[in-house]
This record gives sequence, structure tokens and C-alpha cells, in this order.
Amino acid sequence: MTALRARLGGRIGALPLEFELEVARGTLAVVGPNGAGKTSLLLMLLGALQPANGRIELGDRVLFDSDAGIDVPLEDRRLGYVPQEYALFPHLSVQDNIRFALRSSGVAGPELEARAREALAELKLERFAERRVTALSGGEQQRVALARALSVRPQALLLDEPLAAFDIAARRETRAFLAEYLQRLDLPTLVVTHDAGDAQALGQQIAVLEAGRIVQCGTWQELDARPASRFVREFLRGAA
Amino acid sequence: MTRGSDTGPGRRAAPSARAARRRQRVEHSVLAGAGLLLLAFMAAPLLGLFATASFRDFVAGLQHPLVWPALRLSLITTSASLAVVVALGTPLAWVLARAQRATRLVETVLELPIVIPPAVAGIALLLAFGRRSLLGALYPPGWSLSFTTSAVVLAQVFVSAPFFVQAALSAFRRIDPHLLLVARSFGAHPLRVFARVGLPLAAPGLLAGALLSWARALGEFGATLMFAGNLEGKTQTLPLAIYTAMEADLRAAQSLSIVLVVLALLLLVGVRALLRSLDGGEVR
Amino acid sequence: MSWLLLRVIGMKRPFSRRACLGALLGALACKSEAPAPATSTATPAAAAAAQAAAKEELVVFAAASLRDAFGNLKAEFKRTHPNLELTFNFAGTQELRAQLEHGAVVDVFASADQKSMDQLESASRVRKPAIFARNEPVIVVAQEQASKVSGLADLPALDKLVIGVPDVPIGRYTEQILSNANKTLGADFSSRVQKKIASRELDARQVLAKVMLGEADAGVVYRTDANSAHDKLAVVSIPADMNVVAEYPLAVVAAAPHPALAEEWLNFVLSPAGQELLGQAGFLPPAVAALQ
Repeated sequence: MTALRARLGGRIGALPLEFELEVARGTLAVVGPNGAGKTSLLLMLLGALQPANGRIELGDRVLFDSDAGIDVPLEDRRLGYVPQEYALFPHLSVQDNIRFALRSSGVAGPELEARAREALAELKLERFAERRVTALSGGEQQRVALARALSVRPQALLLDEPLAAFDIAARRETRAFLAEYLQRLDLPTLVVTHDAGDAQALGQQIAVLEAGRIVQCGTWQELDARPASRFVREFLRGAA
Repeated sequence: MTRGSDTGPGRRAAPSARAARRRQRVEHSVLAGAGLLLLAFMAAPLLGLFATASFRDFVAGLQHPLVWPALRLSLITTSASLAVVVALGTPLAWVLARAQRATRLVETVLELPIVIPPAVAGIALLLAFGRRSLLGALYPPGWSLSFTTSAVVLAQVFVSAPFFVQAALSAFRRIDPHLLLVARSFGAHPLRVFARVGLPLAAPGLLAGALLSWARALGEFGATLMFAGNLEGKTQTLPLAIYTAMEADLRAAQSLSIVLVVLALLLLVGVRALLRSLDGGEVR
Repeated sequence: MSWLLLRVIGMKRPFSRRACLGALLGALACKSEAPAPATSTATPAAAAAAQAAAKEELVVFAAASLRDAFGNLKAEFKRTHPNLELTFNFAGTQELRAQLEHGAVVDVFASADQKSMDQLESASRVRKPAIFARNEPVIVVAQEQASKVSGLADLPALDKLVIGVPDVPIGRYTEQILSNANKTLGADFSSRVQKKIASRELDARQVLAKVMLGEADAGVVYRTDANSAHDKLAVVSIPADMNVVAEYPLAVVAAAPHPALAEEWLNFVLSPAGQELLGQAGFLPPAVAALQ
């Protein structure tokens, strides 16, 4: 089983960042208010932002090590990335979105078609295969984004605010689906969210971020029972 | 104080609602009037060009001995300059759109050809590529770039490239950066991200920029005259032919101008239509 | 491009737009249209004394090649007319003529060719034109090629020649010179030169610029143009028996707001002092017959 381990330091504008986290199996929800550094953390893991110092490991691969001068490029990190609003390619159909991902990862020929079909089936998207992604609902778009990210068999999954686009009614349903699906997936997953309720539903582990550092990490029950600070207590209360 | 609340019942709301509507009408007509003024001003020279010439003048213009060589040369050179501008300008705009540093400076330099007078651009081209330039020392004896058809193309590239690069730059910048990050996360390498994500998403903007740039190249006069000179069949493009004809016969110059305007209009309309059909009416 | 279109229209139909354009040009050329100072038929000195405190105005339209010479003339003229506000408009002769025809408010018109002046005279827009100077075409040679050219006969040996387009005066004169030269330099001389022509420019200044920058090996321009750049190129004269000399006529505009002062300027240009200054700029004096 691969685990995603990271110890990172850096600075975004005036905000100093310092993180240490480990996602072995299941989902780690990184939660915190806007501006706490959640997205920066995610982009550093992804390889789109370079930390000033630290080390990132994925299983036995070192993705980044400032001391050893290692910085594996984004293209070679094999991380599944689902940004906020999903970033589906609007000029491609659902299956072409997936084919694009597979072809980019070096898959070709009959294997490409087989794996594209497999990815569509996995998220029950067969009947949307020919549709333009712009014609899909939010929930369907999220499933396409997941199918596309997983089709290339990443070693970990990074989700940025996966539920921010939904209104309250649709959110409940999509949240339940996502929680169930991620649990079944058995892949180290990191979900960034500003919403304590999302964190509770999606994360086996929850890391609370405040002003660039993780102030507490644990299961929901642990955090709820013994909040490390007033901030954590008040933040968790937002989930109710 | 409520300003023109339409929902407010009662006698007191009525006059204020009427006043608000009146005011709205006045404001609308002020805006429309200002716009119409500019529209009329822009249309007047074109209307004048067509209204003061008969169809026979136009036909006579087409038969003017300067027309066909100039038209042919204009089409060849603008096609060549457009090809150069698009082939090199697209990667430049792509790189600039994604660069972090020094883009302001580079962009400003790229905009300069838009504001400097074309004749000055022509002199600048001579100083850079003329016989006495640093580059000129490398030319074979007796050879020079000036006064050649290639010089016409270079002059057109110089003055028209900024229009394309600017349009391409803003088209590339409008692309959601997450799309590019996602593509890279699958393992897509730079050329693939550019060709499969950047290009198709920026296509309408690129086409519009190419059109603008082509139109500018077609009308290019000052830099060409300075850098390439004015020789029939070799460097005399349509605008130069028009100016040359003007020295002898204004009527011929007017007819030639009409030929140029009609040609530009046809191509503009044609490409617009093409653009719409490519869009499939789905986006915009 | 729109400026080009603008230029082309407004020149076709005699009324409407044309009048507007003329009025606009007039306003630009002459800031105020206050009545002309009441100059009598007294001598210039007396008139100047009488108007010592009053402002005098004069608007002169002159061919672009006169810019340097007329600038010097103005300085000299102002010594006897200290309150004079003398405004020049230098441009191509064709353009100036068009502006005059469209109603520009002008006192004096100095043309670079007889044809334009004749047309204005037959339309009664100017009075009694007189030739005041002549300008002789010369060969200008880029410095790199200077040693290879000592006369017309050497032109076909060069690679890149630049002359005026036949529709402008300098181009017309050049064509005439080349065909004149056929008699002495061989019947195919003119066509041998034509083969080396790299560009036909729209005025003498453009020809000069190309040679000055070294892009063209040689060209034909007016003596006055060559003089203005004599340190940047070589100048070779054209033998008088082949040359075609341009005659510059000068006239008071029929509708001049300041006719008396215009007359004075005209006389000054033709006076020995004026001729001296024109000579310094490279102009030839008018042929003897024309002066009378």
C-alpha cells in the first residue's frame, strides 16, 4: 500500500506555511477557512508550486526533496488531480476527456479503448459517453472528473473543494456518493475543503489548517472530543 | 428616499416612477446618441467612397493597369506574412501567457509597432536589415533585402504581428489554468498541452486575431514604401498602387480603393461566417 | 487606411464635403480673419513704419522643396517687417493645389511645377504668376558607390537605382532626361537603366532617403535636395544638354486677404537679396526671359 507523506515549508505572500501530513489509506480532509493555505498545500503536493524546503514521498518514490535537490515534475508524479469545478475540457466529449487523459499517460491502441470503457463503466457514465461535458449536471461532471483522473491509475488522489459548486440539496446527495465512493476506492486521498460538514463526511482523518499550519489532526471524534484550541472547536461547530 | 420603485403603490409613487422612466429614456438616448455619432463618422468616408463612384468607375478601376499586379502581389505577400505571424506568434503568445516575469516589458515592446508611424517603422527596418546594418555586412555582395518582395512581407509582419499576438495572448490567458494543470497531471507534455488544450480552446480568439492582423497587413503602406520601395509586380502592393495612382488620376485611385475595400469586406465576412459555422452555434 | 480613404473622397464632387474640408483647411492655415491692415501704396518701409505697432499676417503655401530656402527668406524679410506673422504651409505641390481649390485662405502660392500653376491661373485662382527660381535634377550616389559614378553613363553599371514615379514631377523629368541621353549614350541607354530600377518613389525626398541610407546605389533628385544632404552622399551633375530643369512659379492668390503684403513678399523673393538666398539653397535663377 502506497502512502503519501509530506513535510513542507514555504511562504505564500506574507503567509508562512508549514505542513506535515501522512495519508496512508482512506481520505484525509484538510479543512480550514479561506486563506489558511489549503490550496497552496495541494498545489505543492501536485507539483504546481515549489515549496521552499521539505520532502514529499509517495510510497517508495521521492517526489520532492529540497536537500537532495529532487523535484519530480508534475507530469511524472502520477497524482490524480480534481480541481474545484473539475476543469473538464469543454471542447471534448465525455469519452474524449477520458481518452485525452489516457493518451497523455502513454496508453494507446486497443488498451486505450478498453480502459476508457472501463473508466466510464466504473462511474456509470456509459450513456453520457458522446455528450459534451458542458451539457452535464454538476454531479455528472464530478463523476466525469473522477473517472478521468482515475483512468490513468494514479497513486494518490487530490480533490480541491469537490462540493463547492453545489447548492444545499444537491450537496447532500453528492457528498454521500463521494464519501461512499472514496471509501471503496482504497487510494490515498486528500480532500481540501472549507466546509467542516464536508470534512466530517469525507475524511477518515481531518487536518485543521489555520494561517498556514496544521493546528490539529485526528478523526472527527477525536477532534470533537478534545479540540486543541478555541479555533478548532468553533470551526467544527460549523458542521452542525 | 426611493428612486422610481415601480412596485410602490399609492399616489405618491406615481410621479417619481414617471420621472425615473423619463430619466432612463434620456440616459439611454444620450448613450445611443454618442454611439451613433461615432458610427456615422466611421461610415461617412466609406459611404463617400462608394457613393461618389459609379459601377462603371469601379469596373474601370479594375481595368487599370496597376490593379492586377498589385492585387496579386497583395494577396501573395499578405498570405505569406500571415503564415509567418501565426506560425511564430502563436507559440510566442502561449509562452508569454504562461510566463511569470518580464511579460509586461515584452508586451510593451510588442505593442510599439502599433503606435509608431509606419514610415518610422520602415526606417527602423532599414536600419536593422538594410545594407548598412550589422546584418547587412553578412549579405552577399550586391544583394540586399530592401526592394525585394521578401521586404514587403517583413514590413507586413512587423506592423501586423502585434495585432495577432495581442489577440492570441488574451485568448490564451482566458483559458482556465486548472485545465492545463489537469492535463499535465495526466502526464501530458508541453507540446501536447499546447496543441490539444491551448490551441482548440483559444481557436476563436486566434482566428479573430489572425483576421485583424491580415487586414492590417493588407492595408500596410508606410513601412512598405520605406523598406521595400514601390516597383510594379515586385513591391507595389495595392495600397502603394492606390497612392501612385492618386498622383496621376484621383478617379483611378478611388476605384482602386473600392477594390481594396470590397476585397477586405468579402474576406472579413467570409471568415466571420466560417468562424460561426465552426462554433456550431453552441458557444456564443 | 482610413486616412487614405478620407483623402480620396472629398476630392471628387465639387460641393458639400468639399466646402467643409476647404473651410477646415482655411481655419487651420489662418487663425484669424481680421481685416487686412490698411496698407497704402506707400513704400514698404513707410508702410512698416505706419503699422509699427499693428500685427501683420501673411500665409504662404509653398512646395516642400522650398522649406529651407523660404525659412531663410523669412528671417531676412522679417527685418523690415518686425510685426509680421508669416505662416508657411509646405507640402507637395499637388496637395497644396487641391487645398487651394477647396477654399484654403492663402496669400501666396509657390509651386514646384508650371502645370499646377497654369491650372490655377486658368481657374482665376491666382494672379500673374512669375518664375522665381529653377531647380535642376542631379544624380545622387550612395557613398559606397561614389567612386564608380562620374556621369549618367555610369548608371547602368550599378545594381539598384531609385527614381521618382512618372506621375510626379521629379519622375517625369527623370524619364525625359533618360530619353534625352539615348541620343548620346546609345539608343538602349534608357532601357538599360530601367532594368536596374529597384523602386519608383512618390517624391524626391523618398528617393534621397533611399540613397542616403545606402539602400539604393543612386537616384535622381533636385539639386536643392542633394544640397541638404551633401555630406552623406555624392552629387553628380547632369550635362545641360540632357537635363530638364524644373521652373518654380510664384503668384499672389486671387482671394488673398492681404494682397499688398503678398505683393511685397513676391517682390522680395524676386529681389537680388531673395535670389541670393535661393541660390545658397541650390536654386538656379530664373531664365533671363522669364524675369522680364
